[in-house]
Amino acid sequence: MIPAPIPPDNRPSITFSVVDQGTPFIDQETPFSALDLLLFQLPPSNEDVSVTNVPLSTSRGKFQPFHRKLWSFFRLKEGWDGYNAERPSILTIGRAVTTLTKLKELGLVPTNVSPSVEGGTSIYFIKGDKFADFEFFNSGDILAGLSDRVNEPVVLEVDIENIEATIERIRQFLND
Amino acid sequence: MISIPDRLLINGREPYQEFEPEEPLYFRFSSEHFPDETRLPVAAIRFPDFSVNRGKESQPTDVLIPHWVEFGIAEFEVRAIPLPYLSGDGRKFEFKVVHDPIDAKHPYYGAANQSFENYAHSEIRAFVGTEHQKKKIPEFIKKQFRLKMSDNTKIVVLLCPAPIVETLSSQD
Repeated sequence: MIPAPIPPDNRPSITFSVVDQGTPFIDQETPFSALDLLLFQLPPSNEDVSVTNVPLSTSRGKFQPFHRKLWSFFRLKEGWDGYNAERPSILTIGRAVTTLTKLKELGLVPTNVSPSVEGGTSIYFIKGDKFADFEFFNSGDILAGLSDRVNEPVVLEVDIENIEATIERIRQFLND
Repeated sequence: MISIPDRLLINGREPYQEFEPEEPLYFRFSSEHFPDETRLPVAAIRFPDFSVNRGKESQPTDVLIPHWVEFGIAEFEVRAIPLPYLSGDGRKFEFKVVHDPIDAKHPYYGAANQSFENYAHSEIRAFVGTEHQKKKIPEFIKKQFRLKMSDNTKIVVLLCPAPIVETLSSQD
């Protein structure tokens, strides 16, 4: 059965709260519609995901496709890469969403987001021969990488609480 | 499902470890990594034990066999494999391509109840001395390797239509 269209003024809104080891890790309003939720069909998880009705705040503009794509990674299955990749955990999706929000605040637009074959999620930037990324691993580690096809690549450990510093480093690398 | 071409059947052939620096190595990548530009993101590069097909024994589209026709194909040359890296504790990690054919008894990735013979199968592996390192590789070294490989990888084809794959795979 196809659900009846929801009048614009009465659209339900949701917030996903991802709780990391008992501590609220992210309380991020996401650009979901009720239809998205039906399509995503959240898989069983032992991670704590709560959904509550709150006024919807959408992430419009350049960042909205990235948010949608990130949350779509829920649908991936083990081995989604044609080899044996783990599916991204909700924690890595949440951390990438947090980082997208920070990137929006700081005005640095990524090229794209993707799941990682190493298990996790990634936000990456391409400018000419320069490549930079954040990679959020299911293990909990976060690394950033910078490479330009000429010099040895640079790997940075990332502190999610101080991610602004790495964002600025990436901006500087891309603009130099 | 497409048929397996004769060139990928082992037929009693032994693996050999001689690789020319210019020999291409092919691998497939998911539509999740179809690039916006000309570069494959680091998130598409796996390591260690990075599976590839050696170009001397296969065609690029063979990485889509038996059932990955909706994937892209990427390649790099043997000489693009990074030079050794030193870890913080002084261990020297070396990277080598190893010809490691898959025989018909090997259960293949994601293919429940199926087997797949692939003479061209090879892996990029990490070694400390002569010891193959499967797990305990520092994350920094893995990331460094993957960044370098992303630098040196070229996209062969984004989406190869199934009929073309079938035609290619029937040629030998």
